[in-house]
Amino acid sequence: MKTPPGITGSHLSRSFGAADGRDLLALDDVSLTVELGEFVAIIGPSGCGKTTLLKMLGGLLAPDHGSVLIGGSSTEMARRHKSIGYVFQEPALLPWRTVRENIRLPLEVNIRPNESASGVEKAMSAVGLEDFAAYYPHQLSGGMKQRVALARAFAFGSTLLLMDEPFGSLDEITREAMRYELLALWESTGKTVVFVTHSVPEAIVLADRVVVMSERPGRVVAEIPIDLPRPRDEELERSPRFLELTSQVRRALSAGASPAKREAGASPVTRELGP
Amino acid sequence: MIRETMKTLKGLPAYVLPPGVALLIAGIVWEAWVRIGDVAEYIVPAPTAIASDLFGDIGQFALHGAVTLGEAAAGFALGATVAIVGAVVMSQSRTLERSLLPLAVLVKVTPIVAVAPLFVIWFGFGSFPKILVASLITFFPVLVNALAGLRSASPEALDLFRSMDASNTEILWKLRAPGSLPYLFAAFRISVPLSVIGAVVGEWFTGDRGLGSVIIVAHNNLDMPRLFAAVAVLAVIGITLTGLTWYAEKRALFWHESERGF
Repeated sequence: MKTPPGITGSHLSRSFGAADGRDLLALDDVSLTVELGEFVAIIGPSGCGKTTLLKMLGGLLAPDHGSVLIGGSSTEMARRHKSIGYVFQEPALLPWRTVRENIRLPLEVNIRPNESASGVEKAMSAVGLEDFAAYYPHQLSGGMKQRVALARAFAFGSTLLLMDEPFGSLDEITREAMRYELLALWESTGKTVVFVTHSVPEAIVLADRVVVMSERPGRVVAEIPIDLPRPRDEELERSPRFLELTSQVRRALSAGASPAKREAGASPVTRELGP
Repeated sequence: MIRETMKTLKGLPAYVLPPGVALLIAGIVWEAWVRIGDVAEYIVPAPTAIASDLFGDIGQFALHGAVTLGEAAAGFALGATVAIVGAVVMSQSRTLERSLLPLAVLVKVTPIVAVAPLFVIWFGFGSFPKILVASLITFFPVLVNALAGLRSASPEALDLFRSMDASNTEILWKLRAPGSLPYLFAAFRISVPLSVIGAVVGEWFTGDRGLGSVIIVAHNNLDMPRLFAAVAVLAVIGITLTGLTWYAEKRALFWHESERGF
């Protein structure tokens, strides 16, 4: 049997115990395949199970039903081989470590043979922090902290990056600048990325494919391939094709907003799949 | 680091001067009250009488002070070490915490003055029973705070470590232990002065060394200047230890929110 090189999540479901004792279905039979080197954005309303899905893909949360394969092996193996890099909404830096030491952290735990620190300096200058190498997190702005978290995820040999609204806590101006920094960083490394967001333009600028999820319980309502040429820049956000894709994603989002709307909106949302 | 230290020292007069002046004024008022009101020395001695007793016999006070300080320091070291090791063990398992923490609470709620005489019977008249009393009194605050500190790691940071398949030992040393330092120092601020109390209480019961025994002897002889002088030396020891703890905290927790803006 051919082993899929990217990520394959099949029929993933998960419920959580709610406060009133009943089980709340967070994710309902979601299947998702991500090709090697592909950039996939997952978009959906708050509480639709995006984070739950991402945690399952990274092996931080076990699904009730379904399975996840990374490069043909289990998430357990992928974690053991340090194939997975994580970026969270909060930068999750260690405040007692300098910028450089924070970026080095992945190389100091679960040490694997053939690991080298050469990526640390490269990632640090890629996000423009080489002059801040000896600074501590409390001396940095919110945007700089998140850049450190990005560099930390890119500095070691992971093949897969899982990003959970990494720019969600930043102001709009910083947020827009960070998109293109992430793009540049990603294009130079070619890692496979799954990127959770609730910003439509962010998803379209970054991704090869946008996966739209419904309100809870989370289901995939549409997969929209983004055929914009790369490398991408700010100009692109004014192109007609960008606006077309934006309204396509928005339509899919509102179709997934509530069961009533989903029935009514069944015709405009044609489930589009990549070539 | 040297520059940081200089900055810290430069800020010192602002902290030392106002309370120093207040203390001086209080001393003058006290002296005036004793002289004008003709208060008997065996009830309240004048500050000058206390000072002359203190400096007239400074060698003895230094010796007894050093004994008490040594017992307090050893007791603190012992109590804090056992507490930290205990917290690390308990942080690894809720079951262990549930079985051991009640024992620690039992130790805490037992009045220290009640067990001090027992230690004398068990361990004799040397320094050891006093060190034990001091360690017992320091133990609990350090244990509880260390445990809270070790459990304080953020869920994101824990997920980050787990996503790289970090071992429990790596999580302990690289995440939990440094993250517990602010909690530990909060405990030290309580426990360091407590350790001096523990040593003094231990000295009340036996022995002829240490400021605790100086106080007991002076009390029996109604030698109030001596008693007050011993208390003054204890206060100086307490202030010095608190200052040292404060300085160590500044150095160790430069990265923590509580240290901003000084």
